[in-house]
Amino acid sequence: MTVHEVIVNSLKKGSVSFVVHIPDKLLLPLIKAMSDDSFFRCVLVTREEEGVGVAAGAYLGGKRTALVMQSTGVGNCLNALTSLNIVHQIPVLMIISLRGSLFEYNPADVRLGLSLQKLFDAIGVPCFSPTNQEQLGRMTDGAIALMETSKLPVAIVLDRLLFSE
Amino acid sequence: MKREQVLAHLVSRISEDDLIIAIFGDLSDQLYRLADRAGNFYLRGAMGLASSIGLGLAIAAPKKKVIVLDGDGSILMNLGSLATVASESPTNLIHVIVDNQSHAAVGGFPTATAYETDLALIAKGAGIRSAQTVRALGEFDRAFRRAISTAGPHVLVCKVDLDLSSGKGQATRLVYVTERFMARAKEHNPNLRDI
Repeated sequence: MTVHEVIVNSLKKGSVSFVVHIPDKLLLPLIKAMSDDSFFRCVLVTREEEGVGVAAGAYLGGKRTALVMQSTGVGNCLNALTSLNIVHQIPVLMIISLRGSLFEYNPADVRLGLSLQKLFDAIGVPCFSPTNQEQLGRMTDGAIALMETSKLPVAIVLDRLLFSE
Repeated sequence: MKREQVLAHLVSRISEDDLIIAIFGDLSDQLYRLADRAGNFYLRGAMGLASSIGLGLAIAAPKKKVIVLDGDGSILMNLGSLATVASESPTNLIHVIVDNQSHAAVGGFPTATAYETDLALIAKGAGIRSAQTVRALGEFDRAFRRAISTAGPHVLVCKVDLDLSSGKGQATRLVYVTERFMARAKEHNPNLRDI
């Protein structure tokens, strides 16, 4: 299975049907797969923070939601996650491709990528980084259950090494 | 035109099933005092995101009318959301921008709408066909009645007098607001499985 197939399976199993996304090269196959699948309602937004808002609205309307983005975009989300999701108990599953780590070519992405775990720790958002496909499936299933239980945003961070070349 | 008058007209024209997303500050405070109801969602933060929350809600709950009570300072923070609303074009979304041409909640510094910026034109440029500015109560009432009875998305920019904020937000428990709102917003979803 590919990374995107594992994720799609977990999202379907967990009834996460509303997906907000911001384009990303590594996640493009996932975004395409979800956009072509009638199970998912996908919304493309202009900025990650906007995506947090759209997903929160869909949750209020009864959907389980995912936000698909690059780690760099997490910097755009911090106020929304703390002053909307956490304070109103609105969960969202964040599926994040990690920039700024191994094989990174853009110096601008390094500092935020390397700080990602600390940023999530600082605002009390659970964050999980699977190292292989089996973990990816288990962690995504678990993250969906955790966000429902805790009513918190939960992050799954995908390192470039997870994706086969 | 005064903000309270706009709100009073608005709540007199909606039904129990209609859903309102209201930005933090005097808009939420006045709405709460005027007509607290299960279908009101009062933001406490989430700067600029009311239009986005309304969009997600309008897509997720297509049988409900969704009314976003936004401000000029707030929408100016999230102009990209107008492009996303235009692309998705939910017919049940009514975006009311109460434009006092000022950051009233934080001291009254003028916003760009006090100068050259025209929010209805921006909305039109983003691709929202039904976007207009109203300056008098009768005009607002006609425009809102049309918006609530025809297919949207609609953007209504309401020019109101500046009234500097004194409120600190209602003391309602936020989680209670979330739960009460979700119960009201709920549409039957047979596909949602328990975990």
